[in-house]
Amino acid sequence: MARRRKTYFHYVDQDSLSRISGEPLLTPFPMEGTVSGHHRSPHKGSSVEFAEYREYTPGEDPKRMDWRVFARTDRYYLKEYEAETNLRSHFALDCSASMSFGDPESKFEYGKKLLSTLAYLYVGQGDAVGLHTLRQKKPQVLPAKRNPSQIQEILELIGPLKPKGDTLLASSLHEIAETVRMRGMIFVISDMLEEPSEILDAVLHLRDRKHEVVLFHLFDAQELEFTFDRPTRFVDLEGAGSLITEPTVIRQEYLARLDEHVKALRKGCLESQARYHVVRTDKALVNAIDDFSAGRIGGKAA
Amino acid sequence: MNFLQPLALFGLLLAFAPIIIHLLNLLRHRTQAWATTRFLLQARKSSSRVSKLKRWLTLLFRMLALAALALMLARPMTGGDSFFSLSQGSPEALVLVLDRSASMETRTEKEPKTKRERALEAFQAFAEPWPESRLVVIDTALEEPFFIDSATSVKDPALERFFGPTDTAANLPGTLLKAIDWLRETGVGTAEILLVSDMQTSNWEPNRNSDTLAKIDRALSQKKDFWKLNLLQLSEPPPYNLSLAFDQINRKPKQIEPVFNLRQKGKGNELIRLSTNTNGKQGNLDVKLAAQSMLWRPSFDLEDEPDEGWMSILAPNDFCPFDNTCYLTYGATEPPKVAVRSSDPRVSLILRAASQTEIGKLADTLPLTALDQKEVNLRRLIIHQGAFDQADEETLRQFVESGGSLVLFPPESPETSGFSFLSWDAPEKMEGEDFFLASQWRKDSGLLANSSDGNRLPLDHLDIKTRRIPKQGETIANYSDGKPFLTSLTIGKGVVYAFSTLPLDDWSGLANGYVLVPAIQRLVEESSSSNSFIQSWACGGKETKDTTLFECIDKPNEKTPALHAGIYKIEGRLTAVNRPKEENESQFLKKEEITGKLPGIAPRVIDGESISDSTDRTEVWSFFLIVCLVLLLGEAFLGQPPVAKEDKTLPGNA
Repeated sequence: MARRRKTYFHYVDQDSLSRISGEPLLTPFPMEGTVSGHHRSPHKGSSVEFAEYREYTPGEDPKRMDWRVFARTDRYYLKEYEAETNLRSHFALDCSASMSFGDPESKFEYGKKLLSTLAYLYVGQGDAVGLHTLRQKKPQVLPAKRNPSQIQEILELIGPLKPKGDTLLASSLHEIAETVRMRGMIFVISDMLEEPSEILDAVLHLRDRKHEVVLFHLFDAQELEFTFDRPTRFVDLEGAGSLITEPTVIRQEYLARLDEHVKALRKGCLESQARYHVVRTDKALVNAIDDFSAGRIGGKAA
Repeated sequence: MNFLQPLALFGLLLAFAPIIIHLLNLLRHRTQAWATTRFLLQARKSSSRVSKLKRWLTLLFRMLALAALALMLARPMTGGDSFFSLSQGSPEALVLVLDRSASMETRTEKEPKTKRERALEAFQAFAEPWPESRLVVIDTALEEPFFIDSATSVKDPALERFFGPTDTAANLPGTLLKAIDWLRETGVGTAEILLVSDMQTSNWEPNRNSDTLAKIDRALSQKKDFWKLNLLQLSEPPPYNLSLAFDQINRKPKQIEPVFNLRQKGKGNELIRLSTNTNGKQGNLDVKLAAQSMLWRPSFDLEDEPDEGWMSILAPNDFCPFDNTCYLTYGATEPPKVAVRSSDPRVSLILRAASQTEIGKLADTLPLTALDQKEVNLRRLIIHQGAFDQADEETLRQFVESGGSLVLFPPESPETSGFSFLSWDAPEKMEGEDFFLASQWRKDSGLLANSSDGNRLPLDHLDIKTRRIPKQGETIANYSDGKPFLTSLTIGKGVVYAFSTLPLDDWSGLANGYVLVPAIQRLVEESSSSNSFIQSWACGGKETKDTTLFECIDKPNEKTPALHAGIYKIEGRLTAVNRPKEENESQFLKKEEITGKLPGIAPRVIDGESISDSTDRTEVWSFFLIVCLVLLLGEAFLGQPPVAKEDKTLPGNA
């Protein structure tokens, strides 16, 4: 009897699909693709979208010359149209041990869902999707492909993954910046537990390569509210030791530090034109998708 | 600082409870796997200054609050001028009212010092917190306030006369009133009065002195919060005591038979060796104590002794040395000098028969005509009834003032009321078969005392149909309705006794003799054993205080009759001065009996069990209560969460 193959399709959130279905998710940056698509290209093409008039240079194809303008002005002008292409989106999933935190659902599981749903949406609109698992040992890379079976590949890769090891977010993003040649979208799904300056350096590196960068900063509700009321021994998930403390005493200071961290990331992202989203894992995934898709659906992206 | 409830000091251990609870809390912490540990570490690092300080301050405040609570429950006491007492400073005067009666020389097993010495030490400690206050002492023996430079002066040997032991009695209410009068006269604003006494009932007599105590209560109530009364009671009884009291002396040719009252407390029958001193010759005498109280009648041979002399008896030393010595004098044997003067022949006969000194020989009579002063001065005892001529009054008064005894019976005629110094109310007659009955009288001493074998006089069996109540004098015996049956009045060196009824059938059954004869015979015996050359006084009495020219015989130049018992030659007369009989009483008041008489001021009563406690003036629990509350408020303030400047909780993808 053939063994039934385990599927991970439940990671794709149906509510989010229902909300977005039919509407392409656009990017405000020009993208380089291999085929025609929904996204603006840096090159001029043959779409119906008028781009500009340009003076004719001898040697160019006279078919694109605008004869009406010639009739009015006796000058040769070419009428150019926007080229529309597809994009390459690369998902970077943080697989460090700290992502295992969360109750009832860990940040890692939530991140998987977010990744799967977005990947599904992008593949559905004809964009290529790739995957980078950010982990200490055996990081895995799936090159971006626009083939629908790519979803299956991604799900089968992330489905059995377990978070472990230290965070290597900044260094991994630098590596992605070096390895991904064509400009595209880089989705980073992580709890961002590194110095904001290091993360932002990596983001700038990616922006230098003309990628659009979107950071999803995952938080469990306990991390944001810190409502412990009795002495607690906090054991670091990445093996950085433990700490016995009176939570009520340090709560305000903890929240202040967390806030500083988030503000630093948000400010850095704003400056480098990267998108930064704080995602609470106790909220429905559709909220995170809504937050991300605002301004990207219908017409030109902001 | 001392504590009234020192056991509560164990509560100080509670101060460690917050630390223990804190440690236990840390031990019972829960473990939480955590991702954002880096923020926790940063938070703890940056909050280490303020938060740690707040946390330790909270812990400290809790500990101090519990310690203050424990101290408060222990009821600490400290000097009145102490910072803790929250009081206003030194009083202007510290007044010591010192009981210097003979009974204050008592010691206890625990305390080798006498109560008087402990009282002086207590005053030293009492005055210590207030070095700027004036120190004033008034004692029961001298009853005159005087200043001292410092509290240590009470131990100055040069001031022995003012602070040393005495053989006197005391009138504490009277002395205290004098101290208050002095405060009023000198206009002292604030004063602390320390009255130290062994609370001997005879020194206070709260019922008899109720008027004086009421005056004290009123005076101190008016000056409440300014003049404060502190009562240090040293009423611990001695564990063992042998008391020797001289009762009377029977003079016989070449022999005397004194009667002593021996009382012991705390030991069984045993042979006691007494030391005697007869006119300076030492001797010993053994006596077997057969009961707790007994009359002892030794006989002393005076073959080789002069006709007039003195004697002292000294019991072995015990916890109450003041009542171990008796002094007595004896004179030459003289025929009795008793005379009867009565306007009624029946009464005259009965009284002469009752006062006869030899069997079959009735006493002399005095004529009813005007009395001759010379004739009267030959007598030592005159029994008088009926004839109350004003012309005789002065003669009889002089007779009494010079030391004679006068027994007066009421006049039959309602129109006659008596002399000016002693008179009677109108006659009262009981109708039918009813009688006036005497119910209470002094049984330990005096005319109506119990007989030497302990039997009491049947005074309550005396049927009295008619009576006239004497208006003056101290009551010796009472009727059941409280009116006096017999009174005594001291005038000069003598005493006047006044009966309230007559030995006549229509008056009373006195003529039966079983009350009248013993009473009169006791007076006859007393008068026959004394002569003009010897006398016996109570130490500290009025006559001893008035005496300025005296010579101490038993211990030359060491004693004065106003303060010390002994043998003196006063104005040429050999005088035995003994402690007052009331000092032999072993009844002590409870503090409620005094505080109950002073309802307006509620004096602070200090127990004599711990004199050191008495040195502390003020309970300062209120200070620790305030400290405790302040600390708890501080703890609550520190425990408040800081004011949120903004909501630090991140909204996320709401």
